[in-house]
Amino acid sequence: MSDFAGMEDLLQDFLTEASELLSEVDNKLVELEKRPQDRGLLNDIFRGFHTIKGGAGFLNVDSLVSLCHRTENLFDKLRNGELPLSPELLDVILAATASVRDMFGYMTQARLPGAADPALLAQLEAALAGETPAPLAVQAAAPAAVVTDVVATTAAEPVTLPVDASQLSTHQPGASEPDWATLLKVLTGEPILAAAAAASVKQASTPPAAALATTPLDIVAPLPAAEAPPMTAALAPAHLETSAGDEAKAVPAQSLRPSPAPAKGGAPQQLATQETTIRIDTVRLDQVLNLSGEIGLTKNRLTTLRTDILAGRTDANTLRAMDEAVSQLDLLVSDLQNAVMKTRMQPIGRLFQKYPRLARDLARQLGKDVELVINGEETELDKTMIEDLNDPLVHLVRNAVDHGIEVPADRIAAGKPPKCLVQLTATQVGDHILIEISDDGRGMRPDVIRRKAIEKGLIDMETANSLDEKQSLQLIFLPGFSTKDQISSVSGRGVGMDVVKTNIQKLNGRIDIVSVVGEGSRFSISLPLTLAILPVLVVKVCNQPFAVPLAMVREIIPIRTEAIQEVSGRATIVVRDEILAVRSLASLIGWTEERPPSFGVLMQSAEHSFVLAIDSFVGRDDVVIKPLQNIRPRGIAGATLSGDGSVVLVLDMEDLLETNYEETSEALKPRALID
Amino acid sequence: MSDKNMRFLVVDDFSTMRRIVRNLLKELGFTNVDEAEDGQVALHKLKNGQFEFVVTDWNMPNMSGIELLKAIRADASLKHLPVMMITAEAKKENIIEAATAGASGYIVKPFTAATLDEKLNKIFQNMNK
Repeated sequence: MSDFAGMEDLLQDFLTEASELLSEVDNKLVELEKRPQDRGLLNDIFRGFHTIKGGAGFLNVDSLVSLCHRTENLFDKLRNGELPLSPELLDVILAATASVRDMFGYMTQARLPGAADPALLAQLEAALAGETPAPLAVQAAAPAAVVTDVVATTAAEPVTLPVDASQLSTHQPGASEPDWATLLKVLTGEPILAAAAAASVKQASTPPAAALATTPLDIVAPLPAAEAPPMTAALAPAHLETSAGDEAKAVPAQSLRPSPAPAKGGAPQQLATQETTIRIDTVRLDQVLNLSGEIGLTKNRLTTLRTDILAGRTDANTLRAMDEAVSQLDLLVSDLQNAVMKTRMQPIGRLFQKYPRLARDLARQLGKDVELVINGEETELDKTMIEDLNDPLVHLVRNAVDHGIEVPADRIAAGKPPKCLVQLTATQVGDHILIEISDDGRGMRPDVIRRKAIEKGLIDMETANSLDEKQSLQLIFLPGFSTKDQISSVSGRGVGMDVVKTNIQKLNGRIDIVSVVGEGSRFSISLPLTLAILPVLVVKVCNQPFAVPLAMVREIIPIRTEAIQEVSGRATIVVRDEILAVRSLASLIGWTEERPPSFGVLMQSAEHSFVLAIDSFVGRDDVVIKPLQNIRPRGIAGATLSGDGSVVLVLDMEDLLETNYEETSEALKPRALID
Repeated sequence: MSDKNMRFLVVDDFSTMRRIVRNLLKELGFTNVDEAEDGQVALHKLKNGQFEFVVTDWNMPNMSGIELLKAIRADASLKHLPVMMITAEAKKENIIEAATAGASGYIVKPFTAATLDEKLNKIFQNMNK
């Protein structure tokens, strides 16, 4: 049931535009913290809330109107100098922004959000009246964010609250004890009836205990705001911190146990639904239209020529005209492909703009002083890739703030300025996009990383000793790796970096690390511009064509059987003094070779190079991958059609190599040597 | 009574709001509508196009609605144009400010097609006097 019947289009427009606006407001709030007197900023933020209020009015979302109205009034006083901006006030404002975002979350699900948390409204009123807002529930926002995040990422297992309550109360003098006790109990899965009742001692009603009693994961959903305001207040802003993917993970967990939707307020279960609409510059759409028009004309020309040729007219002029028309079509179609691709391109800034607030909140919570500087936000990337990049980037930003940089005292001791610089940069390099996250923190020590990997049983001593510094840094991408001895509440669960790497690889991308001890670390992500069109090399084995991503191909070499040598049980070949493993494509896909391979494709995957042995090759091609329906064979990314109309399977090399590491060398060895 | 082909310029920095106003105007039969995202763009469009009616938001970056109104009234070729102000506030001082600057009408967000119709008709009547 939609609460916005008849207004769905308008709602969609509003949410898209207002969410962008809200992200801008968020960033300006972070800026405002640095320059509290900046009238331009105050004006912009005022206008942001004002505009959202105006739109919400037309959608009849009274709760949003009233929240924005109060916040807007506050900014009106701030910009007129009637009120000073105190850190406490800024906290209230940030909580209000979070609450607005929560309401957007409700509206995304076509539900009318309930009134904002009364405590928040009261604080806004108090601030408007010129009183210093009492630091109560809102202060608990930041640590609560961490808690929800942990809940979200660890899915079904019960979690213990990884933050010491006493430590918290020193950080958060205002957080009242019962709330934290309640939160702890909820998260550890203990029945919280008594605790929750204690928390809402001043309220008339008691929470419906059944819904709250057991599952820790349900905490986000079924806590009606009216009944337990301090807790809901603590959880609501948390959603600012949790990334889209985290929430997506949290959803199945919640759906295991259908929970009653809260009647009013509270935090929505899921804020991040995938955007299904896109905003496109009309110039780009016109281009698509023009090109399809021209293709239509060329098609007409071809139809006429076909009639001519079928009628037996095959003189030189007709054939030349035919050749011209086909060439023109060729050109137009590739132009059209490019133009269509461009309509999917979006500036990456839409993603980046969420991170300064993320970094600021996290840094504040950890007692660090961080400035996140963003460059190249206008760089464009395929829309789907932008969405899929959010998770890895959130993790890398958190990682930089949590692990990468030092606390101010350590920095001063090391002779660095107390304020850290984390830089997030996007640039287009050729047909690739390069995204870099660098910090000027303590850097990573290869020896420490190696030792940790051995301690955790991820690698053995022998392997560790054979790794150079660069390879050692790569160890952090192993599942289960975490260098912090104590699991920190922020990013130390060791569930992150391997997921980051897998996600980047899914986008046909690469991630590299450069780190200098004492000076900082830099993570570089290299991505193709789009996933829609993939340049491939078509190779043949056993007379069947296969496509491999061209991005991985370094060169093609002829292979003589006698050049293949066995080194420690593996087939290898020497290419310009470099010893490379030889993997036969036929055996990788589980076939038997009909004859010894004639060619090798020198391929570069994430960490290593190898030679893929094939029978012959057809050439390069730009293909559109069609995913296979219902079946997912190992190592096959999808299928495409070749120029002659036959089906070509596109290989997923990483997958193929991972599943076949041992068998390959075994399978190749005897045959290659016997033949 | 009013010419349904009348050319409108809707000025607002929030495209959702422009669309709302545009749809409401369409409901009333006015389909000849162009948009501008702030006062500056609006002024530029007004000077280059044959517009007959301006509907503008108050609060916008670069050039606000009230600044646009003042600029229109100060321009000999534009000063005859009817200008309706849209605002979220029903504050007395705002209405007075708009009236003194020469606004032809004033409408408070949110509004329905009926309210818009009523306000437009009032302006048309005044124009015909």
